[in-house]
Amino acid sequence: MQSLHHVSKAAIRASTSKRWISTSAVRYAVSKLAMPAMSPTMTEGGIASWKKKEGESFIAGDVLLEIETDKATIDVEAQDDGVLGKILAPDGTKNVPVGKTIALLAEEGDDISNLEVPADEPASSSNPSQPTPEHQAKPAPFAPSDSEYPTSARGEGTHPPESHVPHHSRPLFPSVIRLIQEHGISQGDVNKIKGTGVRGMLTKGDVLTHLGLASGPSGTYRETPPPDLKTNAKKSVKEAAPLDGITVRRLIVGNMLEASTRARAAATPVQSIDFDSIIADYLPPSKPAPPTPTPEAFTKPKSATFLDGLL
Amino acid sequence: MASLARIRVAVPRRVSLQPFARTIQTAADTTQLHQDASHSEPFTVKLHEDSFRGYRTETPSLDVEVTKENLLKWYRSMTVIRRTEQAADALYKQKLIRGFCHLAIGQEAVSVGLDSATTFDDNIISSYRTHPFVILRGGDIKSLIGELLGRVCGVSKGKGGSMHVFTEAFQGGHGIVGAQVPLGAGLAFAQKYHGKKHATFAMYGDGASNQGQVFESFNMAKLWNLPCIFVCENNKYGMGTSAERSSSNTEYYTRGDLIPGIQVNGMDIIAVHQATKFAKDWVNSDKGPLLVEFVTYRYGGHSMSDPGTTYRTREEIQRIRSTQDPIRGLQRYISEWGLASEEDLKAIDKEAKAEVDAAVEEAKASPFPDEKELWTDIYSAGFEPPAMRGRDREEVFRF
Repeated sequence: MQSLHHVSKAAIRASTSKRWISTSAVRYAVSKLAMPAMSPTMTEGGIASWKKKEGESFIAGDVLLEIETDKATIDVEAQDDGVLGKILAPDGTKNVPVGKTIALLAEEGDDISNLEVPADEPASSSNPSQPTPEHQAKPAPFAPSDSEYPTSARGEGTHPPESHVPHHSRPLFPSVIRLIQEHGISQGDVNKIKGTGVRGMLTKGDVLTHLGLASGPSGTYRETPPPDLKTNAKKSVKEAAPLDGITVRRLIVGNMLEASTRARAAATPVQSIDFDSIIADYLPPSKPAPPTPTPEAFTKPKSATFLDGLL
Repeated sequence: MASLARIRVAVPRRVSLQPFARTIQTAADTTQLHQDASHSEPFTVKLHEDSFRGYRTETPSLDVEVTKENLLKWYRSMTVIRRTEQAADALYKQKLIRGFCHLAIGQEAVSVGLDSATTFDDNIISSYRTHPFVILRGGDIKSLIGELLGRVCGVSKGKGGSMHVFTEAFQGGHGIVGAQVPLGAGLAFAQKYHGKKHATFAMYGDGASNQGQVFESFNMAKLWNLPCIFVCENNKYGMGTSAERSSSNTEYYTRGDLIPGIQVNGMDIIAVHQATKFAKDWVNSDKGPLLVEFVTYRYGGHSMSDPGTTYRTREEIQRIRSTQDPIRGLQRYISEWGLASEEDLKAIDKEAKAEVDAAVEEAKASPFPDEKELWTDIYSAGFEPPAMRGRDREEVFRF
């Protein structure tokens, strides 16, 4: 091809330059054939084989070449009639990025012997890559936003100025958000409040404690169970009676009975609690309840108070 | 699929049910000149006798009056449209256009012919192979390509894309197959209600012709005598299914039952022009709805993700491209009738290419819409809700 160029240049140049000057009406139309993306996800491909040779003419719809993608080998058709001027990426070229010029096409009748390879422009797919990172950067602040509640930066801007939207590393309860907004706790203070909730979440109690409106994060909640109504009733009855021999003997026998039942209860595993035993705690003490095998926790304080009275 | 195409090629295409019945011919260059074509006055040409077929009606007259000016205008329009679609093809392959892109290369005669016999007061509503209509009905190349590229200069401000293009005189641009046909019947109803002597062209394809709502629209149009012209653009393939494999009755112009219909050669622009005029006169004389089937062909695939060769052979495409191309047919008319020389037509070609290239560059230079445009054009002013959720939970917009 190069030698042909040299040989023909001298001979043709005079006539072709005359042609170029005289036929100014005919546009010297050389168009670049860029590597097409045969699928929207394709970024590069290989040239499998060219179906047309340099200088061969084709009509619209003819297959110019086959492109190898990672998925399949696909035919590339010509859009317009024309002549294949120069192949820039020969058969077997691999890893041609989408948009790179792979050939020069000319129109019928144009002189193609002096086709010069133009300086390769950057792939046009790089142009939209500039606006797209800008647009990708904008939704990014939304994604890593720590709060899962609708507290976006944009939302903050259009809020009324007195209620600021708090942020926390853990999700915030609606009650907590409301308290923070009502009492105008600043973000710095919010960060200082220690979270006692699940995985460090702020609870309402934490905020109230911080505000001084509660004694502690769990308020008046006590781990110990409430005192048994049954034991209170028995306690009052027994203290009222005078301690004479009969009473003492009754006390001793009662004590021994309780100890034995307790031992029996300890020996046998506690079965499922039945309904009556549960609601008996809440019913008024109408009849003297028989000594049922009650859980250990309830018997402990009872025995302690009896001994106190005896000794 | 390719193997099926090879088998089908061996089997002759069944075009008519009865033997010896006239079949429509779809060449683009069979119109004859009556007498010498005048360069300044309208002259008459005669269409091929197999350009039309009728159902429950007489076919339009084969003698058509055309002017040199119109023919050259149509040639320019079709060339511009073809170049624009090819530019869209190239832009898609460079990954500048994403998403869906359905090109109408090969079907230019239908859109240009339809537009040539209608005014901007008539409604045209179509499916999604509608890029030509944007250019013809009030938009321009820059706004069409801009919309495909997703830029602010697009007809829908870059927010709609290929399947959501509207202009003042073109009612879209709809993605759901066959959904636009009831809309078209409704537009015709509105025209009748307002007493306007205009027509509505509700277009759909052979693939949509079997949709239920199309027949519901037929019924209502016939019942209430609406000025609705149902246009079936039969390009012989519904996506990848040929018409014979999808429809028990491939004579789509007879599917209107009591609605009369005509079948038209959709590759000859003069036939399309004549049929559109006939249809407009039909509805304007209160004869009720009409069904018009344009038999045409698309060279490309259904969309840009379809190569178009897995369900038909490349030979078939190339054969139709070389023998029945609408632009080449009109080119032959113009040069054979002595209206313009080959060089003049080549000059029009180059002008069109330059125009399209310039518009594409302008569209590429246009910016993407600003992010606040995500929240506009959803509600009418004053009717917005207090807040609206965006793409994920954190994104809330307060109107």
